[in-house]
Amino acid sequence: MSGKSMKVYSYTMFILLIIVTVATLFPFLWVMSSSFKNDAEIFGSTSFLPKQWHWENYYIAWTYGKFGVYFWNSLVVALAVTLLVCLIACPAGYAFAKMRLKKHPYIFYLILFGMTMPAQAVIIPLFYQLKSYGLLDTLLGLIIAEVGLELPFSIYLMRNFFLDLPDELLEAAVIDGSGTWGVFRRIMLPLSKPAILALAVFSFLGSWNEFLLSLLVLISNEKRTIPLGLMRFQDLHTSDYGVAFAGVVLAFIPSIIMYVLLQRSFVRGISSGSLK
Amino acid sequence: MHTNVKLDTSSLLSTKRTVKVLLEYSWALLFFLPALIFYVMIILLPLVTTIQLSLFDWDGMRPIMNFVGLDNYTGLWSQPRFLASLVRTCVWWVLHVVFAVGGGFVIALLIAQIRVGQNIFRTLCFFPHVLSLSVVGIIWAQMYHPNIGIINMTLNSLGLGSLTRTWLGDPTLALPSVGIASSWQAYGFYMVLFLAGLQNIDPQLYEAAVVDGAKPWQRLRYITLPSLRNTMTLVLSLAFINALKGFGTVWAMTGGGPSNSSELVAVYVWRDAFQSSEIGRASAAALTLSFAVIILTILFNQWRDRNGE
Repeated sequence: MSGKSMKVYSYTMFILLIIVTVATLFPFLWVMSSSFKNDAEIFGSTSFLPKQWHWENYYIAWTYGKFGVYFWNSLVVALAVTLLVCLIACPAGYAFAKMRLKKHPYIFYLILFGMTMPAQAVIIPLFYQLKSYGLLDTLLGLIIAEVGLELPFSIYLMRNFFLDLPDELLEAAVIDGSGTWGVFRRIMLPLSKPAILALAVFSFLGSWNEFLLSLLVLISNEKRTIPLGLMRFQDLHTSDYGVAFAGVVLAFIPSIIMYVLLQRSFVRGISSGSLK
Repeated sequence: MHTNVKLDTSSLLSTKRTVKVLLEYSWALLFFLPALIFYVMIILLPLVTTIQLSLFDWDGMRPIMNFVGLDNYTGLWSQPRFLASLVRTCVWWVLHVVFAVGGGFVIALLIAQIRVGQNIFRTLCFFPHVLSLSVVGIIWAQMYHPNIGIINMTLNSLGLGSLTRTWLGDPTLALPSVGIASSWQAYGFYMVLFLAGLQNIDPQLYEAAVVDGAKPWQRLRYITLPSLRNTMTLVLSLAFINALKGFGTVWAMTGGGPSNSSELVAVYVWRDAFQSSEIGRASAAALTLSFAVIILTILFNQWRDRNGE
């Protein structure tokens, strides 16, 4: 290919990409612009941008929609799940990578099984189990259920990471007189900071967006997380379109902000976690 | 005498060794224990209970359960509604592969062609994937809205009013409409995997091909596609499993309706268990779904191992 046709080729690719990206982002833009319109404009106008900016849609959505409560619930659940998953998956992954459990692959198959199995296989008894412990309709119940179903993949991720660390590191530390706990605490944990960070980002966003288990466990409006709360909000505002749109924006803004802040470790986590 | 002493030390050594091994096992168990407790409580016990429930007729409230053996399973396979949900899940999988995997692949190829701004495009195209499925469902329910949705409004303003539909209210259109919404959310994930695969291809292969005068599609056919074989099998297996588990977008957009026309197997399980109170049959359906997912995962992994290297 000559230099000129090379240039035409890459410009074409560039323009195609811009079209694809705009199309991908279009639903966001449309919802955002509609969230500032009043009902008359939503029904009648063909202009994309609102003629008048109705900020009060957001005020109404925030006050009547309990988004503050939903946001807080989502935050509590996601932080607790992230903390527990990291605390539990880290030593467990280490046990499968560098300790005696390494020699027993059949126990690890349990973890792989838990990763593969769809949540549908456990949710029905889980509902009655949580009910009998009084954990139904509590954030604690949701946290426990989410941690249980998140752990297999998290252990798998941490095991893969620890497997990549050389065994010589461990042997050297043992010769230096460090005990099992000392090796883990002083040598392995500091080395695994990037892996733990990736795991934390994963579990936080996973829990923030979790839907099926929240639907199972949470019932009353005060306990709802954002994904569930938004569904209820939409049901209540079926004829109040501008406010309904504002609710959607309120629901997706936190995810977008978190993603923009954390996207490097997130995208890296996906490629390394799945390609192993 | 001499031999006796020797025996003593060796037995002492072996006891010491046994203690050391035992200690190592205890440490490993201690490290694994918290995870094991969660595993038993949230996965193992409920799974065993699901198996048990699938053999009973129970409405979720009565204290009595009737043992019915495998009747729930045979009942499922003769129930048109369940069979239809299986067929629909296959259709859903095809939609997912064509739009989410296909879209992700094409966009990854486009991004790999450009020199500057790869990260920006990747980041922006990944945006939908960070949303909750319920948010995705609600955004698209608004897009498909018969009166205020952008799709019908655009068709009307283009003078194509005859093409407007009640996208989610029409039994023939509901499933594909939801499928497109779900693919919008999912394609970014596959795109990232494809991009990682594309970055592993040796650029010298392309340079050599350009020197030899290979056209873009020839480079795609003879370099890109063969090099992506491993990524492709991985993505297809993930897509298959994700499609089988499909629930959230459908639930948020149509709840399985209208008249069951978007009811996938996972939705069937939910409605049967928590709306119709057919706990036994729902458990049987859930296990059928899980069995399919696990068998397919094992088959895909074997296929990957054989194709790999």
